[in-house]
Amino acid sequence: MLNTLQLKRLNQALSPRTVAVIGATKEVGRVGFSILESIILGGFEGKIFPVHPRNEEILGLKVYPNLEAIGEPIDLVIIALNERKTIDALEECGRYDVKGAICVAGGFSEVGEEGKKLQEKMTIAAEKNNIMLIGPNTLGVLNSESKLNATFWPITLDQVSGISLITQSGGVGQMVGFKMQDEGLPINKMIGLGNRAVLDFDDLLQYLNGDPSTKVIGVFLEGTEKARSFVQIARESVSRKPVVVMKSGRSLLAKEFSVTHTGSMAGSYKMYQDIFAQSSLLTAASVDELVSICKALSIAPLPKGNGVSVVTPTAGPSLILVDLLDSIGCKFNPFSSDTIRNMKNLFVNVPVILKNPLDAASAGYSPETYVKLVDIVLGDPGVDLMIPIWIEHKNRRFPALELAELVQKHQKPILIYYIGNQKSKQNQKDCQENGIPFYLSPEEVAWGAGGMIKYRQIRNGK
Amino acid sequence: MDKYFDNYQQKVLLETEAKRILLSKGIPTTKFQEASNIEQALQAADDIGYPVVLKSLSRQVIHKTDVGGVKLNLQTPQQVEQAFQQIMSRIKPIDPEVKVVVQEMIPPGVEIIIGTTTDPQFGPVIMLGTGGIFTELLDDIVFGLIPISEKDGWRMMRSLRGYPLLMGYRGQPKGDLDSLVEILIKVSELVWEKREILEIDLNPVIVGELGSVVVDARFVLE
Repeated sequence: MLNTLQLKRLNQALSPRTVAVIGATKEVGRVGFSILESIILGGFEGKIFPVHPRNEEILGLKVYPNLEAIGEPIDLVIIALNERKTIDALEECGRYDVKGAICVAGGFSEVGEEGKKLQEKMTIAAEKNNIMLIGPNTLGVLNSESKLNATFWPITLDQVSGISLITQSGGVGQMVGFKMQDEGLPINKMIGLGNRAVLDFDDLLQYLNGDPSTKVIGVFLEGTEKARSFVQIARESVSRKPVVVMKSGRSLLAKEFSVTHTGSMAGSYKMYQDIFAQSSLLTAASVDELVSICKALSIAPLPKGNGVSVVTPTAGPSLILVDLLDSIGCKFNPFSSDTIRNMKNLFVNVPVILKNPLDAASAGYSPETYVKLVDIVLGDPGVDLMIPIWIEHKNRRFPALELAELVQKHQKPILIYYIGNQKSKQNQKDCQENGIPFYLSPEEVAWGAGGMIKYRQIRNGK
Repeated sequence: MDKYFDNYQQKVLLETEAKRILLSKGIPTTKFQEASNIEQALQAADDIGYPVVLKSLSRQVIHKTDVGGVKLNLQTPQQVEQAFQQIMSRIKPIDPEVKVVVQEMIPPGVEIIIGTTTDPQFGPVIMLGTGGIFTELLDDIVFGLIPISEKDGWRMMRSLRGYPLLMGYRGQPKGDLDSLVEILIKVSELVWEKREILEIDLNPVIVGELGSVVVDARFVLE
């Protein structure tokens, strides 16, 4: 847990005005090159200082032999050196009051006793100098809001969602990152914790909880000695914003593997799950589930109850969906008499069975009728959240913007289950920019709906 | 309660020591009396009332059931005498200091397990589980971070797959759920106040219509 000064230093480090890369190199295949490339590619608008004893210019940037030669305060240093030189570099950072450092090298607590000792030295070097250290053994940090890509994963940062991620593993960070790109919601901030020599889950949760542009916090966790502090901070966070956790290590094999991955004991999976539930955290069993829940919570208004309605132009997919929704505690209340009357006026001489879930069959093909139907259903007092199903069709226009107006009108969440594929980018965008989470599979839309209903219950203290 | 902790040198407490700590915290246990000889055992059985249970009381023998150190449902003084001799003949060779404890025999109810542990990542954690013959089959346990609230206690209990058993399954009477949750919370408080308790194992706790009782207890101290 961080004190006010530490939190301030961490904020300066992760939204830096000046960044130095110690160990920057011209060799394209190496991490020291990728990090510099990432920072440039990400569009960082502050000053970038590559540091290398011999090089003079890399990627068009002037190279400095050491921090002293830079001659101005550095907010963030990324150290891309081997494990022994990393510690010397940290000492150097301490001499110039660097606010934060990211150490990407491995070879610490994850490789055994000698590595552990080295990591202890690193912890001491950082704490002595009040350096907010992330890592070692980390992919790095990504802050799309500050256009800072301080990872060795060179991607561009163009849009920002309200979803931020704390991850023990860089690889899982990339899994989530790619998935979120597909889902049209690029990650806001991603912090790869790695071996957690100084900063741990509790600290970064505290940071993201205080971050105004983060609406939902996703977490991937293998295991941490700060588990108690983490759940305590999470408990305080959830009244402000939801925290969704994915934990690995269900199997013995994964638990053992975790020790050599980020040097963490994985802990009892069941114990973690139960204590997460006690501590008002939402849990996800897969990356897809994590992203689906975060998506719904980051863009749609919260439902006021667990009443759900599904409206579909085709019965089969809705059967799959209804099974999934039923298993997570969604309730299909019967429609009110007003709703039925309004539907009868809409479906004159059309054989539609007016029950929830509602199969409108071919009557649901017309965008106009579809929108009217969704309007009627959302007006029903027993419906708190609605999942309209749509099937992509060349000759039918998907009425995304009209649906978005209905979310505003009724102040109830709509989640779209869109039967189509990744090519439906425009519809995805139209929906999600207007508060409607857009999903391509029944599992994902059910996870999204379930997450919203659970979070509402947590907020209400149930 | 402190007096119970000041005097203990042993890591694993005797059942009677553990139960005295529980009683001092207001957690109900079966009635019990220690006995070193047959006369004391018979007197204890009379005081407690038949049927009774005899268990060995030895620092050397922790898993007393495995070595024939538990005799259940003793109806008469003759049976008590016989049980006493059987226990002594089995355990005296291992521990010359062995005594017995005479306990009341609790009417059947739903068997529950309550445990605590000191986890390297979470610190003190409490566990509630379905006990009895289904324990291993169901592997039905739920953990809670100590200290737990009353709400946590109820949520933990309701989340057990064995919860319907507590609600009165197939014509059985409904268990006294309040009393079970109360024990759970008091155990959590006990461990929170006394960090020298590394582990508690209450197995079984019998939940009956009119209350819940700790039948066997094991404490491991720092």
